[in-house]
Amino acid sequence: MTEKPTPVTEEKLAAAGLPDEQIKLALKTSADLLTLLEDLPPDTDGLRLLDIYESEISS
Amino acid sequence: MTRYQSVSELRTSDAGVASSQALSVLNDLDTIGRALDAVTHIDRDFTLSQAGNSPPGNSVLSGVPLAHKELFRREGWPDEGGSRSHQGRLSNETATVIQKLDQAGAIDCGRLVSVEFALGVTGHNAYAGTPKNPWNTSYICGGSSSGSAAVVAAGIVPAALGSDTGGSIRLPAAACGLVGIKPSQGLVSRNGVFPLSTSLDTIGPLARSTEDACRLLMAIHGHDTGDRESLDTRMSLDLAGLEGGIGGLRIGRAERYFLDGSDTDVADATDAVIGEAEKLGGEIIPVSIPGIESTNALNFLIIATEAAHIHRDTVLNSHQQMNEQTVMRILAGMFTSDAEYRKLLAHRARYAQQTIAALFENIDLLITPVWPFLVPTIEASDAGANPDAAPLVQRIGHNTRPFNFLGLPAVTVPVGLDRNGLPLSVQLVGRPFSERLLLRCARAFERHYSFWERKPDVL
Repeated sequence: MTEKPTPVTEEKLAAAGLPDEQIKLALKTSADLLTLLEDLPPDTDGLRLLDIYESEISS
Repeated sequence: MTRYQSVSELRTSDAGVASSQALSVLNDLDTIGRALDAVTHIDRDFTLSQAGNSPPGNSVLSGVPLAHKELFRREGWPDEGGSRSHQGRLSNETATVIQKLDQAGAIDCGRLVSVEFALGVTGHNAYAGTPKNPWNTSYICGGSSSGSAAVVAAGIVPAALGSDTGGSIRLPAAACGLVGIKPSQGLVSRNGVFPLSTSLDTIGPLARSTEDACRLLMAIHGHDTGDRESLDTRMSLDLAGLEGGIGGLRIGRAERYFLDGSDTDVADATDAVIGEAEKLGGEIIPVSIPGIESTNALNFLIIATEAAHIHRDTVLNSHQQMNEQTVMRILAGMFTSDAEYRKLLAHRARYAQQTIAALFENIDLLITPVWPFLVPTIEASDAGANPDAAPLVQRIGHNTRPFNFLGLPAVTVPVGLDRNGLPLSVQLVGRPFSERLLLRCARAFERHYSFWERKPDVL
């Protein structure tokens, strides 16, 4: 997607009526997944999968 | 009667024959398809009108009746994405792939059940229906293209389109004894298809034979300016290319992760297929794929983040009308920041670049299991009703999601039945845009195992 993700706060989810139990579980799942990114370098060159695939086509 | 006929048997330039075939399919969808809980929409007037106009005689799908997953939009038809939260919405566009099938002469007979927002792998859907597996109606079809798999396996149509973001073509195709093609990222346009994940969604066919799957892929692939991630591959696909056999191909066997991460029944069956591939002239080469262990979770993080972006307002405003499992999966992506998201996409690109170069230096394709365990029953895999099912459900994408993360093409082909009488299949994976080679290998297995001669004893 080209749009930026727009993170949602716990407060906004609670205001939308989502149960506290669901919000806490989602936060934990998200935190566990984002841990996988901790040791990865930041995005400096904007390289994307389709750039790799385009070079596969031309090679 | 049109059931269990192939595309080549159904192909006709006679409008009377096309109408008769379409009527037969509409009746079967209305009876058998609905009994399998696999059908969401039938428009008899539209379908019979389309069939009654002389189909183009030389087109690849002239007069062939098809039906597709409900995510494929046709103007004026329902656009609910399998969700009560979208009940009553109608499409205001027609998907590029549907337009291509129309131009190829296919007759569109309706829409088939998807998991809500295509975000699930078992096929459970309390709103649209949970399709039953035609091989044994107590078992799931797998998801999310569950209705497509059920209807094709029941022989109602020869092929149907599905979408695959984490395994949603391959898992149901494998569970229902079909050939499923998850194409290379960028090969088939997603324009006009209800989205789940813009970076990962792919579109492909489920069919009873390699030849029919190939015919659909021939009709739908190609560059489309309406999809920002569509690539101009100039790929050449033809049926003659299917008959080259396995002889001389270098076939990878990945013990770590794929075989040792699957249950013994499945791993042994996959190894038996690899052994047959060697007898058919393939050279078997052990391979390892460093870093593959984290790709399943990273693929899910992309799906959740992009699904949260697309469906944020629906979750905030209408979560009461959604399946709790769907809400939880989307919520997991709602906290990802822009920097984290960009880091994730950059890692995907770098990892794919390194892995593709290393993996396919010495092999032409890889053979892996599809499901990591035998296909479960509807009851045993219902995570909504049975919290104990959650660990089982989380494992389902073990062998499929890594190849969505890498963007690689993958074809599933059935090779037999398990001890419960459900189909067993393997997955063939190749380098980007190697669909022709994968289909050639699938065709060789199809001839070897003759699975298409088996039909489920359905209704």
